[in-house]
Amino acid sequence: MDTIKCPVCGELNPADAEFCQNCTSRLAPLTGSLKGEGAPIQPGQIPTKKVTAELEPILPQWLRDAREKARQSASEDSSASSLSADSPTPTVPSTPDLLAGLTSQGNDEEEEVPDWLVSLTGNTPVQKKMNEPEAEDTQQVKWVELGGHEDSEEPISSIGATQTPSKSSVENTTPSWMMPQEPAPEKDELAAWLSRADQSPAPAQPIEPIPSASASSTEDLDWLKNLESKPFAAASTSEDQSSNQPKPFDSQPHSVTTPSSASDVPDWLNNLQDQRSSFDESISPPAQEAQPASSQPDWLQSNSPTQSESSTQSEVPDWLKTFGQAPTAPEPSASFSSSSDMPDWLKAAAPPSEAPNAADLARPSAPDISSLPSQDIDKTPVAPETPDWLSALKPVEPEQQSVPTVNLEAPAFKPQEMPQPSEPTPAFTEDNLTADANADAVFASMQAPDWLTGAESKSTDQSSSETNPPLAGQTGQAIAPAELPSWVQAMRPVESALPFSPASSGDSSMEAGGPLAGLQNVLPSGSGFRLTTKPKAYSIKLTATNEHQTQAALLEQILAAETMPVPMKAASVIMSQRVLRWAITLLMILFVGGIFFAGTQIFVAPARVPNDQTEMAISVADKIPAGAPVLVVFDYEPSLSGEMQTVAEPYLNRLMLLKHPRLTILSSSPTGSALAENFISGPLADRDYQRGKQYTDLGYLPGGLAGVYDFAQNPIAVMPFGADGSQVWQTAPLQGVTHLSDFAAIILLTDSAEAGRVWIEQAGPLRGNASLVIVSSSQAGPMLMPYLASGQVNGLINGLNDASKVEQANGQAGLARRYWDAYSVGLLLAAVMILLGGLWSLVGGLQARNAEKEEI
Amino acid sequence: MRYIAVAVAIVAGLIVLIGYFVPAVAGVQDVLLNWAIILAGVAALVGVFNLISVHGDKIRRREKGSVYSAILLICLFASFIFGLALGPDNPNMRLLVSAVIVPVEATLMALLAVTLLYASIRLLRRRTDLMSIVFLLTAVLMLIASATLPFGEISPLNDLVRPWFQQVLALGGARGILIGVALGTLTTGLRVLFGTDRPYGGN
Repeated sequence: MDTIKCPVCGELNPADAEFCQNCTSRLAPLTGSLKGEGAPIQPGQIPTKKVTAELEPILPQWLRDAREKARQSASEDSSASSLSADSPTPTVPSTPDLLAGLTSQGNDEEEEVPDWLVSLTGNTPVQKKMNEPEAEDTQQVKWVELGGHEDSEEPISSIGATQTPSKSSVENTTPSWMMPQEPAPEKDELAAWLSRADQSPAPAQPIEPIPSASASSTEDLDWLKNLESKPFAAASTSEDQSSNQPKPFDSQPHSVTTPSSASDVPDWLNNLQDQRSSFDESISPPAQEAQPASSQPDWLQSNSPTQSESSTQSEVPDWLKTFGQAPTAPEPSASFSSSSDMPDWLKAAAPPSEAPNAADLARPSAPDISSLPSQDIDKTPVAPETPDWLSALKPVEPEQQSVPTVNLEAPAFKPQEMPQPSEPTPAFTEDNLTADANADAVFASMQAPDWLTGAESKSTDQSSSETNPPLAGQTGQAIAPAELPSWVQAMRPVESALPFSPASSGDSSMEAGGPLAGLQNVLPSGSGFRLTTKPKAYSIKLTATNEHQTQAALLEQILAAETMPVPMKAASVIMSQRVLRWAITLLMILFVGGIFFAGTQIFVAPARVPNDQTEMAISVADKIPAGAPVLVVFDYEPSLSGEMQTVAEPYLNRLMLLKHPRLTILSSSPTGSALAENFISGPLADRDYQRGKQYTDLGYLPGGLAGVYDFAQNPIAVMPFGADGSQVWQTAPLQGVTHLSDFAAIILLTDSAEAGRVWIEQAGPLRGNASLVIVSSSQAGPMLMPYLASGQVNGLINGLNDASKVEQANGQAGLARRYWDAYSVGLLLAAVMILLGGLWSLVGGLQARNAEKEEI
Repeated sequence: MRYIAVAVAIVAGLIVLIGYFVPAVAGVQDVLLNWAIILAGVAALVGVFNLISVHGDKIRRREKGSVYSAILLICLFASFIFGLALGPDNPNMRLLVSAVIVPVEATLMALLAVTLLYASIRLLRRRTDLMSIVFLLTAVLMLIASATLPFGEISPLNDLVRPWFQQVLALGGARGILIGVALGTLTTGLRVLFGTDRPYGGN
């Protein structure tokens, strides 16, 4: 199903819909025609009857007054017409109605039509019958004034006859007045008529002068702009009084079709309207006969054969020539002293005395060409020199009548309504005639202006016309594009230039906004958005080259190698390490053990060095008084008991041998007491020291640093019992000792620098004059040297080297000397193995690293 | 409870510290130090109980090496029983120390000598850098300088190199270490006094 997109709300609507179902906006463009409205009435088709009685209340007051007056005069005229019908004397149409010229009927071939107008329309001038029955004209004026519907009852045959155009005559560029067979004089009829009107004496009733129709074009435009700019409701009486500017002829269509108010009507038309009643009263039949030449324009007089011959000298009337030129002097209104002075075309342009019907409101003010004989119209060629303003009045072609020509805006702003300069279009063509013949239908299809639309909609609402289909102009205010400025709308492309039908077109590329809203296919669908070439086809089949396959195979090999087990070589390394360890062990056992068990003393003992730590310790031992209490602290582990006994034995042996001190043994390690017993009963067994007599064992001193400090402060309180649980403080070794300072010397046997530091730091301040000698292992000696250098330690015997010196000082070989060869061999062997092994490891390491690098 | 523990620790530390400078507080200081010695002895006893518990669990669970745990517990209880019965001065008890503990530990120390020698040989294979070489050369020099030759001392090494190494390099390094230890001890003591460090628990 074809749909059309609403340019306002975007909703989809059926293709044949005219208004949006959602927002009731018009789906077709503004310039488009509503369904069926743009089509002309075909021959044989009865025009739609319009009921215009409802528009009565909205008519301007002056129109209603005029209509009322016309009704009142209708009865009088009816009697007068009956009398005039009986009278054979041809009389000038006495009706003052300005719409007398619009009383053209299709069947009235005797209608008075100005020759100049006939020539303009391209029809052959018709010899006017001067003895036209007045009653007939009067009757025609009546139905116009009363808004009758006689025109709708016009025979269709006659309309059809008038609708038949003659293209040959249209294409004929020769003006009608240039035709030699034309006897009717058309030379400057209007100008002459106007000039005579100037010279004619004023009528019986003086009339205020009216500006001539040859006003300046500038003023015309201003007048048009005023009409355009003034809203319907904003018209005021003051403006009416002040607007005395002459209204040009081309403005009459607008003024006639504008029922806004009396103020919108040009003054000259108002004047004419006001004077109409006076004309009826003042004009009498003898006066009309007395001044036929002056009261009637030349074009009326040209109906006679004599005048028509002379009127063919001029092609274009002067008023047409002077149109658009400098303004001329206003012509006196005396030319309009009688209704006969007014030409029919002017009468037609004049506002009707009564309110027109709806068709009249929408009808252009062009003269009713239908009143002309159809055969004359067919024969009348179109003048090529038709002015632009007349061309602007030209109705749109029947197939292009989507844009009604009724427009209050300035013609200059309507380019679609402006005639093409290159192709001058005749103002009145056969199409126009056809359209005018079907005025009701055409006018109904015409798009009325907004003010008229409002009036119509208002009246329609009041008359409960909900069931009636809306007119073309009624929805004008509801359409969104109507909000655009008029000049923008004027710039919109005419639908006639876009040969397509939105309803029938299935294209959905309708412009949704902007000045082109509602139009389809206005903008070309750019070819740049389309693919100029076919998309390249890609195959889904994998294409692998030889190189790709080679790389894939290599990748597979690498992945396979990752999961492949690699033989471990760690076993050989472990074997080498074990061999090395066993080799080292065997070498050490072989050399050191062999030398030790051999009991050789090949290696020279280290020589004594004066004033070293050993000599200091020896001097301390030498200074101890004989039999003095000496505190010997055993603070080493069983693992180092062999070294410690070897180092301590020469020094204690010297001391016990020389001074026979009373020894108090204290242990700061759990195994110290047992080690002390083993030491005394082992290496010092030769000294024959007895427990409880020459020495006492206080046992183990717990507490570490705190215990040492507390023992230094109060030894009796801290260690009240001996190792065997006896009261040792009353025994011989501890006689006279109550404090740490009571000991003559404190000999610390330790293999740990930390233990030496604790005793030095915690017991040093409390030891008084007691000397502190530290006998340490080789590993703890370097850490105790600072205390020796600082004087906190009075002597230090460090390792087997110092023990050998003490033995040398004792003059008695001991364990130190017995161990010295094995000790020396072991040191040298270790040094050699480190050197050789280090070099081997260095080379092996470099080779291994190089091999690893090569593997990587 | 936590605050109480911290308060007791701080007060005890301050009293002992003040006792070094104020003789009047020395009595209180002695009491506290005696308490500390007793607690240290009890801690050794607690350690023995802990040792019994750990190895007892291993024996119950029949874990790997539970036989050695059983031997350890048997020896422990035997020594304790014999020690109580015979006393520490009994020759059999001395024999237990001199015949078992001392040789075993001395053997371990001898193994340490072989291990250190082996490590020195493998050092350059594991890490070949300047410090490793310096370390090895220093060790070699000290070993050689500490020993003597059959026909006499290695005079430059024994007379110059070895004393210089001991009196200069070793003494300087040792002093630095001792100063660092002293500062660390001071800092630790202050932190304990201020309650920052709570080695007694009471986080």
